[in-house]
Amino acid sequence: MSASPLTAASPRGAGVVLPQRVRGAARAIVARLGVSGIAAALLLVFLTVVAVFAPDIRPQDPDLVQLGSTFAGPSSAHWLGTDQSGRDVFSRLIVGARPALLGPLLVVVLATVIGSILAIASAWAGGIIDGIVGRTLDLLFAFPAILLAILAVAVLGASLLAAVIAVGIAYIPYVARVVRSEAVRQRTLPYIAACEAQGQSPARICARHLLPNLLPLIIAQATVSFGYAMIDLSALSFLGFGVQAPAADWGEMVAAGEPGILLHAPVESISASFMIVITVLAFTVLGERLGAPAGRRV
Amino acid sequence: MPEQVAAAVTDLRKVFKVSGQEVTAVAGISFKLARGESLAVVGESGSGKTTLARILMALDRPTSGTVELGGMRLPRGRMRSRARRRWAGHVQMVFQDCYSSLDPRQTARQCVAEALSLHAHVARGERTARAIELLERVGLHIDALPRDLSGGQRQRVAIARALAVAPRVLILDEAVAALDVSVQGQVLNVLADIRDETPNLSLLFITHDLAVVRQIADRVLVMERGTVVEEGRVDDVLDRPAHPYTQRLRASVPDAGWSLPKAGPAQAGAGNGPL
Amino acid sequence: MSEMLAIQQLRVELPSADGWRAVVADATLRIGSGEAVGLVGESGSGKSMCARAAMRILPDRARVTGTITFDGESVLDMGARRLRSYCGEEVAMIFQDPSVHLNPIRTVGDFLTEALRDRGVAKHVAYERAGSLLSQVLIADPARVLSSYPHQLSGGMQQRVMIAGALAGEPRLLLADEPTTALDVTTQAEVLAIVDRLRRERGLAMLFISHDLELAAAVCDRTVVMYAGRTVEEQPSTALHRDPVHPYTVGLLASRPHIAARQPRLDVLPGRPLAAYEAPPGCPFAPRCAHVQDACREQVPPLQEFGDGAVACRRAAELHPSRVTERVDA
Repeated sequence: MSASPLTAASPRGAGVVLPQRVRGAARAIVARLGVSGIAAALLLVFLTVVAVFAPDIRPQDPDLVQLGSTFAGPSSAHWLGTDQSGRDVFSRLIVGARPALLGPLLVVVLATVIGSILAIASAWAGGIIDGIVGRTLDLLFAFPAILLAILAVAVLGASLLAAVIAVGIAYIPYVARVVRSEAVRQRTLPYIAACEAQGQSPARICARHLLPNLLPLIIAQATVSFGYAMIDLSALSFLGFGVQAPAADWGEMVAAGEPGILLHAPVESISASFMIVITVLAFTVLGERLGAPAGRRV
Repeated sequence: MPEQVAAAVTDLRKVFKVSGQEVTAVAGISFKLARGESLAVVGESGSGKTTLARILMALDRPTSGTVELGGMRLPRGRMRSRARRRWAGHVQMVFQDCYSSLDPRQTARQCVAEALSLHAHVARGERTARAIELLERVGLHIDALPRDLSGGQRQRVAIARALAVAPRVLILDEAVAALDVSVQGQVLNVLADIRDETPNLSLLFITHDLAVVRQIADRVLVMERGTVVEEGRVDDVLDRPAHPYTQRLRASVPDAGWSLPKAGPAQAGAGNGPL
Repeated sequence: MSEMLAIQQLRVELPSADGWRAVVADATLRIGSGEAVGLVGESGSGKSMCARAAMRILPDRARVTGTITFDGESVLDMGARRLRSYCGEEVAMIFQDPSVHLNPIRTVGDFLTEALRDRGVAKHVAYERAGSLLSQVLIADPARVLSSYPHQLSGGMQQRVMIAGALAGEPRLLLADEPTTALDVTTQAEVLAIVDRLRRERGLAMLFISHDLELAAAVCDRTVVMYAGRTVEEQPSTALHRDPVHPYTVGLLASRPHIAARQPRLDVLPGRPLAAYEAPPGCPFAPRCAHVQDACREQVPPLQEFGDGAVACRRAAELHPSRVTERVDA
């Protein structure tokens, strides 16, 4: 079977021509994500678009205080009513999408980058270094995010940044633990020994061989962490450690809407909670689908 | 070191510490590998043959003894990056496990091209062409990820990758043992072709399969529990084995007119050899 | 010699992402009582699945068609209780890697006496019997081995223990799935010698599955060759080795190096062995066959008997006129 390197096909349909490759990739993505994964991905894309264009699409000024109509129910003027300062809830919900999505994004980036680097370096070095890193991470494990948040707030003052740093640091050991165990396993495989045998430097092997093979796991882990980070940040906002009033943020809105519940105007809290829940759900579903092994491995 | 010798091992010892106990994997062996020679190292589990291969590849360090190759000597302690790379340019290895000896994320061409980029001083634009040439030389005409290649095809990629650096010594650690019988023959033919095309290349073939030894080797070393019990030309050792272990090994292989040996009590064996 | 195990047109399919995949397409096999039959094939041949089908230890979702009879009784239709007595007392199986088939946290004694004590036999009686079983597999110090854990024993010893365990129920048929592949060459010969001796002493029938044609031929009276889930050839072992008929068997023997002498170049088969679900329509070996004709690609050749063997090749009579004469299909 003589064929050029690009177009010959083995019984398993290997090397394929370029346009087919794109179609094949799209089909693979659809198969991997499934219906739930695609729905989750679409929802997240939609929310991202909303967050990015928030200032342009919000119907009313989210900061406009109208003390005459506080805790008003839904009406044609205010689709989701008003909050305790008479501000339009719907607009605040839209604008609140920004910190709500940005915060977890920063947390995940911080924890994933630092956690993965620590994990890979530690798995490669082994021995004493691995032990030291392990014990340090155990120490971090012991600190709940809340405590770190209080510390951060004490140092930096209450803000989104403080909350992000606190939660980000708290998440490092979770990422590191998962990535390290897989890195240790990959390290023992012959193809890594083959790279060493070629005289590649450890840095090169880790960056060009180990990391790409860990990427699916890291990405799946990061996606699920997004959801958890969102919950933790919302909790911190709820407690007053994160985004401060008058800025709009879903977690903050859940807290601020509390008095409204007793006044039979629970729309603010409920709608903000609802947004948090479906966003976290979408991330979790997407992360699980990405992490799911794609069919039988040969 | 005279030019006719590709590798020289002198009094090599390797001792491992396994849960507190000292285990001697290689107990003082010496041999020379001539340029262009094909040497088979035969042994069963626990013989130390894989440890020997790893030491020659500088994946492990000897406890004592010397290994000389390509004008370099293996240091006792850590090897510096540059020295490591130079050693890699002299000796390469093809592993037994064809399923995980290739990076799952690299295609065959990328894999060989990377080896070229590290050693062969080939200009970037020419690397792909040279990689294709090497792959075709081992009989692989398609480019794909390892998971889309069969076992025999993966081993061909591993051989092409090893040859890309133009080493003096090619070590094959049970390289065909995991392949189907009809595919083993294909890979053995590839190796025979390579020997014909590069007469200066020395092969060190580690195997337990005596038929493969007969087919591909000039000389053979028989190892048992870390020592060389017999050594000589293939025809001499296989037709007139001198050492009892070699005789037992030879008698265990089915052949024309072979019949099962008489059933006997279990030979003393302590646990599963860690090596 | 009465027929003990008969497999006829067995087909085994497993579910997969792309629908049902056949791992055995059409297997036919007979074992007489006291007979040793070798089943040889490469990866994808379906040989292991055949044996598992005969013991009904296939994955739950497998779909099986065809017939398997033991002493005339259909194995595939056996109820749960009959299946248990069948598996313990009539047929036994030993596997390739003994270390994964022995529970690492139980002693050898526990392993061997488990089935007996389950049936109400007293503990000391069971242990005595276990000790005598170990002596039969020529373990010199049964008492010590009975109280050992698997990891304390070498591979060869573990396999002897597995064999002892298989024989505990006094089966009449032993299915051995690559029992020596994971062992060293010298240990391999010892273990096979024991199995052979026990077989002859007890009149045990055996199905010996292997990828090693020479080994199977040396150990068994008859050898069956499978390719891509189908039986392609069957002959008495010496005849098969000396004079194979099916092009696949010929190719397989030719591509092996010989221990006796070096060959200038091995006469290899192109391509790689296929599994049943990968095979094209028509003869599964057609893509690799040097004697292929158009007719071969259209229809699967049936298994035709000749002399004391059988072959599934359209051109068998043509290529081996002295051995295979045209016969009406059985």
